Amino acid sequence: MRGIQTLTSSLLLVSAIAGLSLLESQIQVFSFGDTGIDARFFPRIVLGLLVLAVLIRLFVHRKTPDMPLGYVSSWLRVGLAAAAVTLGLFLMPSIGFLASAALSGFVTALAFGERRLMFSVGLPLAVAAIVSFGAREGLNIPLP
Amino acid sequence: MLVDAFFALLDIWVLVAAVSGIVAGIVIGAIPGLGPTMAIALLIPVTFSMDPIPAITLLLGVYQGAIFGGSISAILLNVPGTPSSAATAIDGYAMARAGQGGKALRIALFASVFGNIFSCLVLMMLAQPLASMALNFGPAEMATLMLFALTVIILFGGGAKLDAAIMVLVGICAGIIGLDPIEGTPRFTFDNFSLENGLQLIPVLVGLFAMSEVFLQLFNRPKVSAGTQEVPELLPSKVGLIEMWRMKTSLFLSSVIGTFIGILPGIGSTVPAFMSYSLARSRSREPSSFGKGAPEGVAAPEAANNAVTGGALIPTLALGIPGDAVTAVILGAFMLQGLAPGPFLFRDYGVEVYAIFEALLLSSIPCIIFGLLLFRVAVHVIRIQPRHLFPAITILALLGAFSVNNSMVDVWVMLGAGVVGFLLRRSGFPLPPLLIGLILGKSLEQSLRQALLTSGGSLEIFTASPIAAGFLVIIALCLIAAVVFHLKARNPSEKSATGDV
Repeated sequence: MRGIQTLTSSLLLVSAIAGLSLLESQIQVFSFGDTGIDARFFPRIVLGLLVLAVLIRLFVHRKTPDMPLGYVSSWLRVGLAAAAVTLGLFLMPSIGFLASAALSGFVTALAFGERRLMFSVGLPLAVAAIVSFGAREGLNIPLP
Repeated sequence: MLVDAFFALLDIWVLVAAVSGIVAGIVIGAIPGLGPTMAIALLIPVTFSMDPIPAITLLLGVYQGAIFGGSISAILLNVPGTPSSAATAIDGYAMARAGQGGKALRIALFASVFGNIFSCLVLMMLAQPLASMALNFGPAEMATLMLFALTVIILFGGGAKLDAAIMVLVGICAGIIGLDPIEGTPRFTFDNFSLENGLQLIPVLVGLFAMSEVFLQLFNRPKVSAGTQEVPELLPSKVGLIEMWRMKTSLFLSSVIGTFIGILPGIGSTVPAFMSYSLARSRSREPSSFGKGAPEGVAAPEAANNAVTGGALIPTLALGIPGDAVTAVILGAFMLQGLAPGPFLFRDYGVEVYAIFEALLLSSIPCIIFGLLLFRVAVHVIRIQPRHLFPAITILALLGAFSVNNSMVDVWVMLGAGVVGFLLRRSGFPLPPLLIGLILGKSLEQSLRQALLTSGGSLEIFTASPIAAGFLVIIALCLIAAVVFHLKARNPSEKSATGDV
C-alpha cells in the first residue's frame, strides 16, 4: 500500500466501476425515440469520465511520494467515534434522541482524551438535553 | 421595490436575527477549525420556524460575523479561524506582538465593514439585471453556463486541477441518486423509497463540513491547542477616521478584487485576500514594513475577504450557481425557505430578496458595535478545548441532519458524508468542488438532456445559439489559458533542473 491518496483514489475507482456495472440493473429505461438520451445517458458519461480521471490520477502520481496512512492509534480514535455515532443511530428509534446523542458525544469526548467525568459525561449530556429541549419546544421538531 | 423591501425590514425579529447572527458568527468564526460553512450548516435548523427574511438575515449575519471572527484568532494567536484570514495573520500577529493587537482588530473590523458595504451595493446593482438576462436562457444556454461554472471551479479554484475535476465528478455522481429529472424513474436507490428524493443537500453539507471536521480533529488530535497559547495583552487603542481614510485606495481596490473574484464560482475568499495583500504591498511606499506589522497589511485582506460575501451571492441568487462552499449552504437555506435561487427568484420574490440585501447592508452597524464589544469575549472563546467543543458539534450535527425532513435516513446520509468527507480531506482532495458538483449536477443533466431531446440528439443546438456558443468559446479559451499557464510554470523548473544537472 503506497499511502492514503492511492487508497482513496482506488476506492473512488472501484465505486465508479461498480456504478457503471450496476447501471442497467439500477436504472429502468423508457425510450424517447432513438436518440439514446435516456435515464442512463448522463450517469454513463459521468461515471465513465470519473473512471478515466481517477485512472489518469493513479498513473500520473505512480512515482510521486504519497501521504502516509497515519498511525493506527489515530485511525482507532476516528473508528471509535464513528462506531459510537453508528451505534447511537441504530439505538435512536428505541432509546430516543437525547440518550443516543449523549452517548455519541460521550464516546467522542473520550476519543479526544477527556477523562474527567464532568466533561466527558456531564457536558455531552447537558448539550444533548439543551438541544433536545430547544428542538422539541422551540423548533417543533419531533425528535425520536 | 427598494422602499417596499425597506418596510418589510421594519420588524423586531429581523433586528434580533441580524444581531444574533452577527454575534454567533463572530464567536464561532473566532474558534480555529469552525468556519462560516460549518456554522451556517449547523444553524439552519434554528431557521425552520422563522419567516424567510429574518431566517436568511440570521444566516447572512453568521456569514458576515464569522469572516471577521476568523481574523480575531489570526491576529491574536497567528491561528487563522478561517483559511481566508491567513493573509490577515501576517501583519496582524506582528502588530499584536508589538502591543497593537487592539488596533489591528479595529482596523480589521472597519475594513471588513467597508468590504461588506461595497460588495452589497454591487450585489444590489448586478444581481437583478443578471437574473433578467438569464430569464431568456433555454436549456442549451443553461447547460453551457453550468459547464462554464464547473470549468472555472476546476481550473481556477486552486489546488490540483485533476483532483478538483475528480471531486466535481464525484459530486455530480452523488446527485444522480434519486428520481431521474426527465423520466422520473428511480436511479441507484436500491429499491429504498427514502432515497427517491436523492441525497438532501443539508445532511450532506453537515456531514462534509461538520462531521468530517470532528473526525479530522480526532485523527490529528493536537498536543497543544490554541487555548494553551499565550494571548497578547489588548492595550487600549483607537483607530481614527483619518487613519482609515489614508488606506482608502487599498480598501477600494481590495473590495473590487474581493467582489469580482467572489463572482467567479469556486474560488472562495482566500485567493482574493492574498491578491489584495500583494497589491497593497506593491503599491505601498514602504513595502518593507509589510510582514512586520503594517496596518494596510491587515486592512487589505480583510476588506477583500468580506467583499467576497456579496460577490459570491450574485451568481448564487441570480443563476442558482454558488460561488463557494458557504454560498452553497446559503443556497440550501434559501431553498428550504421556499425561495429557489435562479432567474425567477427576483421576479417571484423581489421584495423578500431586496429586503435581505438591505438587511445585509444595514447589518454593518451591529457588526461594528458587537465587533468592538466582543474582542475580549472572543479571546476567551479561542481558549475552548477541542475535546469540549467537538462532542457538542457531533450532537448538533445529528440534530441538523434529522431536522431537515424529520428522517433517520438523512442522519445516516450525514454520517456517510462525514466519513467520505474525512477520507477525502485526509487525502488532500478539495471538498468545495464536490459540493458545487452535487448542486449543479442535476440541473446540468436536466438542461443537457432537454436540449438534446429538443434537437433530436444533435449537438448543433449548442452552436446554433449565440449565447451557448459564446460560453463554449469561453470554456475553450479557459482551457487553453490553463494549459499555457501550466506549461509556463513547468518550463522554469525544468530549466533549473537541467541547470542543476
